[in-house]
Amino acid sequence: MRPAMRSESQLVEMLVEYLKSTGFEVQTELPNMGQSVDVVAHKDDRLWFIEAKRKGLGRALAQCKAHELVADYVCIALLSSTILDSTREELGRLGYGLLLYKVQDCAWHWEVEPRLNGSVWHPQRSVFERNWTGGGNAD
Amino acid sequence: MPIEHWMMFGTFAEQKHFAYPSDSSYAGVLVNGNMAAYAPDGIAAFLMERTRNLDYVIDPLTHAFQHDPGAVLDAEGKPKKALLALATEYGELAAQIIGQRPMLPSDLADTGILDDFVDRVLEFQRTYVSSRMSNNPNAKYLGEENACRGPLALIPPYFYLTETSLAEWLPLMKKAAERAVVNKRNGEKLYMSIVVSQGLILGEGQRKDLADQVRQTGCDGFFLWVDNLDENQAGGPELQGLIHLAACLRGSDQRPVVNRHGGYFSVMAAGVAGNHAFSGVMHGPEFGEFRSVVPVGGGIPIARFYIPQLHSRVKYRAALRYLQRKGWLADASTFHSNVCDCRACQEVIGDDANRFTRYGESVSKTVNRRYGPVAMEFPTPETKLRCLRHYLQRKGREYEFCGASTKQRTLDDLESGVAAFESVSGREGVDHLRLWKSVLTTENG
Repeated sequence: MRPAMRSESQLVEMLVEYLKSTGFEVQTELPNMGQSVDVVAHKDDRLWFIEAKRKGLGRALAQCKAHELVADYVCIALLSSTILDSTREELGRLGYGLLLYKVQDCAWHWEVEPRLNGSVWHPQRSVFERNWTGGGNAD
Repeated sequence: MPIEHWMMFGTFAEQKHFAYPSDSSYAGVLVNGNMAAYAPDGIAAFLMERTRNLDYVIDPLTHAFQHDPGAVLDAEGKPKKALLALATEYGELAAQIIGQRPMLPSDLADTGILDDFVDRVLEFQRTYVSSRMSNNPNAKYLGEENACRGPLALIPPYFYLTETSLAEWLPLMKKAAERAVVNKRNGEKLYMSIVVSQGLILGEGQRKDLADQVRQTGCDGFFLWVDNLDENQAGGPELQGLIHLAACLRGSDQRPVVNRHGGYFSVMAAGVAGNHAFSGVMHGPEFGEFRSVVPVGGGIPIARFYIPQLHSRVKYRAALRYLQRKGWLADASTFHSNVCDCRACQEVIGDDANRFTRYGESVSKTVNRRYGPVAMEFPTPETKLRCLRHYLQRKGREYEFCGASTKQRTLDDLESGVAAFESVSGREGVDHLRLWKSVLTTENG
């Protein structure tokens, strides 16, 4: 069993490890319109933006609003074993995905599958892609 | 009735903005005393060349001496050069205490010391910059009368007034103003600077009493500054207090009252919608619609787009989301019809709405944060200039609109902003418009 997770950076490390194991190319802390995206994953020509939080969805949800303009899939990764039904419904309504890291089995689980985001504004997506190749932390 | 549109001078890099959109966009410019003391030739040149059609005043910044000395120190722990230069002009008291300890009311209890301080503060404003205008190469083209023009008004020493400090500082401010009035020279005007905490504007009796006392000094007008009052975030009592205090200062003889740091709410209040509570409103080039009396500083710059219908500078990413959801980025014509057709937007957007990205262009830099280096975005200088030009274009239109509009049209404009944006911004994005309408409706019936 892994030791207790002390920080969000540890959570992000484990998330990166998991995503890579499922075939994604991953970068962390990429800037997008004045804020930083915790994890940007890329597979099959699709961009996934993921905000990772040890607890509390509120800030992640606020950050994700801007991600809708650029990412094909918008997700939140949370250190938690369960979520409220109301949260599940809200995420479903928004089309956001939810990954939970459950300490019982020390593994990631897709609790809510994301929907393909139809709100991408391609001029801004192009700006991000131009910048993406020049910055961030490649993992 | 035209509303005076004032702008604050911040840095020499901002000079060109005082002639944008045109030479006649602004009624007046305010220059901080520390800038005047530190770079008088540069300020003289700025006033003669860039803003020769505008009135100007020099803020003596006397309140800077009453705060924690740490606020005036540089990274090496020495008084900042500009403030030190100012303190030197103000005499022994200011020069001795700057950076050492705050000025206290008791420091000015002696009439001789107070009078000397008042005289020096006024003389500085009167001559320190204007005396250098005659040395400017352009002086010969302006004629004697215009070559060495003095400020529109002098500002007697003033201090930051709070609920707890009012009883000690106000009497000194009144004495200073009364001395200034008695000794004013032919044609000179005196405007008092009224800088108050938000708490001080909440009580009706307190507001009336303050206004009565300062009006009794016989000064000709006022600059009003309420500490850190962001009109887009303030509550109803604060907004009502602001209007009421301004109106009390104006009085039945309608003395000029300029809001030192005001946004669109103050512009409306200066128009018929607010029964002309202000005669003018001031802001800085894109910043300065609200400001803390004790500088807070810091913060990472983020590109912000001024959304006309919201009368707010909104983070680029939020502005983009709103406009995209409204469908207003579908094409240039739709953008110009629904968002903005100002000269700046015509230049930036042109015939391609996709160019809206230019209002958010940034460069990525690595910054060391607590948990290690992080890539962060900073708006490019070009982005800042585009956003600023669009902002100044819209501000100019706001002052014109409120100066010429009926009250109903002004209020209807707020309602249309709510209707247009609530569905995309949520209530949070438009509640300030509702509140402004409510306050202006209540205040004047």
